[in-house]
Amino acid sequence: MKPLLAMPWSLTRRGILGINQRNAALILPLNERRHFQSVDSKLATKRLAETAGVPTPALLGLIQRPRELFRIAEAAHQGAFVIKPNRGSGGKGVLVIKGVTRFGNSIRRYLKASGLEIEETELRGHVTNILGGLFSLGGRRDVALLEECITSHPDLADLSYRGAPDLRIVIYRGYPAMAMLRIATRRSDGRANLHQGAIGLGLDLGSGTVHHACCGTFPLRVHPDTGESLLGRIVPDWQIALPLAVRAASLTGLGYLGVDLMIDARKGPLLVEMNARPGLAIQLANGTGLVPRLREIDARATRRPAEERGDRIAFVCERFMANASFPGRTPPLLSLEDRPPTGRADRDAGPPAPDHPR
Amino acid sequence: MKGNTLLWVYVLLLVLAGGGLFIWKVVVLRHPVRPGVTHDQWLLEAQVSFRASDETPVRVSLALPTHLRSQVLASEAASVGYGFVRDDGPPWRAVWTARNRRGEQRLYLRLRLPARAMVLQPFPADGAPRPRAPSLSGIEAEAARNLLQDAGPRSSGPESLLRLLTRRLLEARDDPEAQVLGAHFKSQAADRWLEAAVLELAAVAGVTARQAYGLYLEPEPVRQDPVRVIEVLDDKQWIVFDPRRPEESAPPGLVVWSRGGDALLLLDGGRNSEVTFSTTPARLSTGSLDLQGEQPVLISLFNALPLGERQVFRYIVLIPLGVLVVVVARNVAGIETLGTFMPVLLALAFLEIPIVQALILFGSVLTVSLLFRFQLSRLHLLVVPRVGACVVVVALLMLLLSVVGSRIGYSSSLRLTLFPIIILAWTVERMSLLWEEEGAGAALQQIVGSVVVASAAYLLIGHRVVQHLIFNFPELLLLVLAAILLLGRYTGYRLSELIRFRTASETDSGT
Repeated sequence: MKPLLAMPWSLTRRGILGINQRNAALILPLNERRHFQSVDSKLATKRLAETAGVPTPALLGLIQRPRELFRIAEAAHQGAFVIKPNRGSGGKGVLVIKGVTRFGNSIRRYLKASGLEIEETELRGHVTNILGGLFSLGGRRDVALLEECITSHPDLADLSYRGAPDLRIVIYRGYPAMAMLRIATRRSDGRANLHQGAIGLGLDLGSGTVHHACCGTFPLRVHPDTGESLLGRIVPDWQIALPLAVRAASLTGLGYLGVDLMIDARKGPLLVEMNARPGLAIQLANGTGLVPRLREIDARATRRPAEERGDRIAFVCERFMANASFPGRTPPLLSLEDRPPTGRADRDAGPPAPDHPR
Repeated sequence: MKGNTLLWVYVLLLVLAGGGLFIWKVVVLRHPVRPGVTHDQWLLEAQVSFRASDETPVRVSLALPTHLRSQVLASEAASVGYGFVRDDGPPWRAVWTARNRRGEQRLYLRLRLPARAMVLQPFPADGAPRPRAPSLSGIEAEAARNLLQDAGPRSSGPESLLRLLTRRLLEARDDPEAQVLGAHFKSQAADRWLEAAVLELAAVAGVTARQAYGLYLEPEPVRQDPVRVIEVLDDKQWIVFDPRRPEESAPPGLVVWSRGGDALLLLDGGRNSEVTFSTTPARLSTGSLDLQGEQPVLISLFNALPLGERQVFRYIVLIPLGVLVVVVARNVAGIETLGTFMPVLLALAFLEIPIVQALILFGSVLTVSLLFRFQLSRLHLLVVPRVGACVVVVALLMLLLSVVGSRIGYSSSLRLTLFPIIILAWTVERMSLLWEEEGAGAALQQIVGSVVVASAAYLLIGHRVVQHLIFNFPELLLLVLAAILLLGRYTGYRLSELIRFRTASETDSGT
């Protein structure tokens, strides 16, 4: 029997960070508004990252006004691409175009990540919406980014039901505090957005090993659509990705933020975007609360101000090792052997959760 | 934690100011905390408005209740730029004079009277007034005589005769005589036909009757037009009745303002004149004769306003309470709503329209405009023109609904003025986006959340005691402000998070 409600004190004991506490204790004091610009605008993030040598997905084109809509077709000739609103949040307005069907030299239809084909007029309508500020905070006018579509690393690609998994690392005062991998499901329509039904995988900070998984509010062990075993999987290039995230975070001036990365098959970890108000789902994905970790980081940062980046990472890897069932440093080779014979057998373990508030 | 100290200082100041003023008013000034307390005084206000003709000197003469003159506790005339005299008469009149007035003019006169003086008594007969000569002829005269013959034996005196005749005139459906007379006077006197017909019938019957003006005592400051009443001489005294309520001879709450057959208003140098009344129970029971308008502003924030204009402020003071509900719903309960303050406006609309009808209305407008919006999305319009198109559709829908509503008999209840069309259009827009982006589930969840929060806000601001308190003690808004400031620093879990993290706490109990 699942309880309907958690008692507030039991959440406090678990160290779960609530939205009000996050806003009042972390975002207001640590994230000054003037720094928001560099993360709220994906374009600004990209430029900042480029100057600091942090790799990001290539920009194929920029649409700033309706008469530049032809750039969609231009980008399409180069292959798969992603349309993003510059100031969108929570994956709103992101459209992945996997390919096109051609008729002679002209493009007839666009193929979405979900497998649906759409007309160019529909695509233009979507970009028009982006320009009109539909997806941006407060309805401000926006610009649309056309980015190269990342080819997921093969170790990750089979995890996700369509769509590329993405990595979210929460950085607090320069220390990585928690990390998760978000993978798409059938219900989330190929998007790695947790409140749309995607799965969150909690990662051990030291090794990038999946130690916990959950969909909505329910823990699970295998992917409900692909049947892939989830626990014990290791994020490739983790030892590159973690320092990259810390470096990217240091560019922003924000004290508490989420860094989103994707692992490209050829280019390795790429910075996708950053978020000055990271959500709290990462705690569900990890099955543990953020508050004790933030306290430890506070204590460490007071003890050793201006610690080197390498030392900071080493500290959290040591301190925040995931629990005993998946011992940190030695990568366990569970991924193939432990997979259940028929992918769907274990489905009951993780029924898609009902809608839940963000 | 400097910010916290400052916050507590502010909260303390607000609570001291708001609570202190409230307690002072209750304990020292004895303002009633509960509604419905019988008031021992009433404030009557007459408002004269007219358009001044250029260049002509203006003279306004308003009839006053002569019979109440000796009992008036205080009177006050608000009239900037006018010379004011009381003509003690009899008849008692208020006279304003001015030169070179232009445009819209507005004059106020307030009387404070003890409640016991307002009980309607028959007036003693003065002089020897005679019945008017009847002026009807032909078929109308015939009809009047028939009516009288019919009603005469069934009445006990002149007053009950006239009330009986008035009833016949009002319920004329199967009554050919009454219909003939009704049609005749409607063609002559439009909205004054009933009084004209009753006075004429009185003349035919040889009963002395004349026109008088009155008003009803309303506990809330609503503007009312003068009530045209009939006074009839019955056994050496004048008895007053309201022809629109012929069942009773002196309807409760009716106050006669001007009688004796004099004009209510005489105006030179102006046109489009109008007299309206409003009343309010005088809640200060200090026994002082000052008008509330002369009290310190803080004590009588409302009472300093002309009575009719307080009506608007009723809504303004309720909004902060609605906002408080929204703040609690969002930050403590974690209910998601479409737009932050949309539920407050919805709750205000519920105050005007019965809640079930309001929900049906809201639901149907939302559904139809949402369908329209989905059609619009095929046209690939830019955002602002698309929302604009939605505004037009919502406006048309509301027009259509009120027409349909009035046809099926809901006309009085469909008061749409408070349903903010623009807000509704934005709601439609947000909802359709949410629908496309996150599916019907999320969209419906938010709309249901909005309606739930709006209903909760409505239950609070629609409560009689709450309304009474906030109208009479607006300083309580300082306490609301303090509560909102405190909620701004609430860092505990939201109710929605307790649901969301319920599995996390379960793991806890296992280890």
